[in-house]
Amino acid sequence: MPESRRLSIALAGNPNSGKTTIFNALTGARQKVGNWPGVTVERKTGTLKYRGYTIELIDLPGTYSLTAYSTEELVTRSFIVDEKPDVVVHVVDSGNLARNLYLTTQLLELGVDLVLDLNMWDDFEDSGSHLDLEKLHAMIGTPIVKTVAHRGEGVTELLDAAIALIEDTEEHHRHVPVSYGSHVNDLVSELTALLEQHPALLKNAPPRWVAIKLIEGDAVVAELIAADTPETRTIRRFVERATRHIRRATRSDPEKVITEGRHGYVEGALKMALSERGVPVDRMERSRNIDAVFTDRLLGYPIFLAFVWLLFQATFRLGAYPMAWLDGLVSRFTMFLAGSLPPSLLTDLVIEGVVGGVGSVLVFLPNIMILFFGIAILEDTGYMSRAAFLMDRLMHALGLHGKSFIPLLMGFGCSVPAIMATRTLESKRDRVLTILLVPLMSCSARLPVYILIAGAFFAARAGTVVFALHFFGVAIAVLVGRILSRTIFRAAPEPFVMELPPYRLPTARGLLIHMWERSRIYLQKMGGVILVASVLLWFLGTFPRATELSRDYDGEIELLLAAGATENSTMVESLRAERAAEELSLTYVGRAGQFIAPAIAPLGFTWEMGVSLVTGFVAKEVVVSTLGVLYHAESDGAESGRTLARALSSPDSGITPRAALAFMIFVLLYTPCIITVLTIYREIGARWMWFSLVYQTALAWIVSFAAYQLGGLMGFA
Amino acid sequence: MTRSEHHIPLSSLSPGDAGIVTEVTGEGAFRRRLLDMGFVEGACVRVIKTAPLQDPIEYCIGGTHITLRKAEAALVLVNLAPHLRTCGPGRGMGRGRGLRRGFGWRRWRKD
Repeated sequence: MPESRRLSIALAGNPNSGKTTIFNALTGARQKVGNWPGVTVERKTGTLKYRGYTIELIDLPGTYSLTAYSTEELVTRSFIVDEKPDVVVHVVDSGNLARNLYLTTQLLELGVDLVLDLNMWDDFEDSGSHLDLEKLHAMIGTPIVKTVAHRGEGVTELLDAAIALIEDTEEHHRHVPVSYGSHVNDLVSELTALLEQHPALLKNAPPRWVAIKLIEGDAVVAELIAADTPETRTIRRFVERATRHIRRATRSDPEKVITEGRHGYVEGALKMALSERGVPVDRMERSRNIDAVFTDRLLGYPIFLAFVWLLFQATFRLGAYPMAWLDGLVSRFTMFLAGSLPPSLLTDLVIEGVVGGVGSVLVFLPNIMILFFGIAILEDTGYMSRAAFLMDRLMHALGLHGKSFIPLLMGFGCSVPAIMATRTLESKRDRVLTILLVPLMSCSARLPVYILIAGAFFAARAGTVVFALHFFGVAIAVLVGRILSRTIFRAAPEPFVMELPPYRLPTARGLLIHMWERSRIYLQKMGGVILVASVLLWFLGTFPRATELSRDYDGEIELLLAAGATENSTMVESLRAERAAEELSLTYVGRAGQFIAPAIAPLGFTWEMGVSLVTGFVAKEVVVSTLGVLYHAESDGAESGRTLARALSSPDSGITPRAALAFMIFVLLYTPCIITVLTIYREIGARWMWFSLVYQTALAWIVSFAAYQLGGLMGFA
Repeated sequence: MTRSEHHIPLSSLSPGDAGIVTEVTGEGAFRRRLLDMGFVEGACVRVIKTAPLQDPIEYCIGGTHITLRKAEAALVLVNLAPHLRTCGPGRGMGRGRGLRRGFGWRRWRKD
């Protein structure tokens, strides 16, 4: 037996074919989620050991075809062409062979070692159809494996088939090439021969595939022959002649002729192999019955709203219990540290900078996990696309696509994955517009701020206030969307071609993996950036240390104590608070806060709030830890049990309820956090990044100003 | 039936109606996506339902349910086929002139 050999297997297939379920079944938690180079389509890889092989599994994006029109399709085909995985496993939904095998024809043209995986085989058998695998194999020439991924059936056989394919030296995987009709076939063969004479031009791409793509008019493959040399000129002339010839002979364009050829090939193969086209009950029948309710004229929207409401309640009501538990854990840990470490600058750093910062974010992990779990349920059951179906008319009114709804909904979790999710939108216009609106969806990092402020000022109605803020963000997005789509983005919106997959029962394992993948992004963000931010903040909030104060606080306190005042009398406390405030106002943070104070004074914000907004750019949840550091310091002398919420709502803080409301609106609307801003930059460039940053901050100021002043006019404190 | 039954836009069909695709107009990514999804000459399409706000519309083609906006469905021309009862998986595809013979079909095409 050879010692551990490396083997790379790529999973390709249509969306909703169960590709991810296969990937999860094979790799479990050993997954690495990253991005494809240059683009932000998610790249999932995992490794496993099997029969002496170290197998690297790559989950390619789900695609219907391999054109140059969508990023996912380009990523898939250039991975296969450039990185040449040892084996490509094509995961097929057996219930829909015609459309799935259409992609097979294109994978075969790429000349890869292919294993055909007939997934969801149980559904296929239930439908009463009978497929002659021998005959299908004779046509397409690839090994065929049957799997039922959600039960884990047949997944190891996939690996066996892949290994057999590369260990087998004889060329048994020869397939009947797709015929595009005599006109096209001859031209493809001639062009292939011509291309084979100039292998340098092909950059490792299979010549026949390049020939087909050139005749199809594929813009990306055409770049291979874009240089102006005698060879490329010959090839270009040939392609032009071929195109003209096909147009004349078929009275149709080459792209259509070739597409029809592929469908025809599949239809031919199925005619031979499908001995019984049972399909007594349409597999969609079950789904159609569910849809009779879920996308009903009258019931559709109430049900949709009920699901979203349920998601919210689960996230925030249910999440409150583990949150309180974690909160207790963090404060007990803080007390333990404070009790066991000697009082010093370093202890301060650890307690306030490290534990305080990380702890304040850690407590929101339960909320985020529940939210992502709920989104995973919506996605894995297939309801998400029904939501898009219901929402398209409304989204279209904002100049958006029904699919934009999904990234926008994800925006409630975190803008970063939401912006990545806009990659499902094919047109750049729709993507840019959606990305600009995503940060207006109140992300989970803003939730800590709302919970803190709403809890402190609107305790009885905190839930209503938080819900209203989320809704308000949507309302603002509607307004901004309408304005932008009528001004800057006047071009026609993207066509709406979306599959409504059959409803499926999600697997617990799949849901947990999807939840964990996204929660991990939140944790990673917290672990790195927020730790650094919190420590930096502690430093900026501690240095330079005040040497000279305007009043002799300590002397005055001693005088008061000597006159019989108790340690925690109001006078002593307020003196201590004033001292702490003055000490802080001399630090770097204090200076920055005072510098922007005049700009935010009309909104009713204190300079502490100003500072927290500045640091909130690092990540919005940092607003909480900043307020924690600032107001905890202010109440330093008071009894240690005093919570931040009480500090904020106490009159010392100088925050009125209407200023608190304006503050939450500001946090909702102002510039997204730096990671989001950098994601926008990476996705759509510097120009839009600056646009997003400036327009949102201006918007936040205007709306918060209006809210604060209107509140004042209506007589609120 | 009063309306013309040939080369009518897909968008003019009502839920429950079926049609045979005769042409996909339009261009670029959208047209290609439709072709990839099986909107080729001879394919059978059935109207399933319209969204509560009348747009978009759900269609069944080759066993797949997909949605199109009204304005986009207008770019697909069909012949009304009232006799077609079902458009289940694999059905319909290859029933028209174009794809009757499966691969190599173009040789049998009359015009």
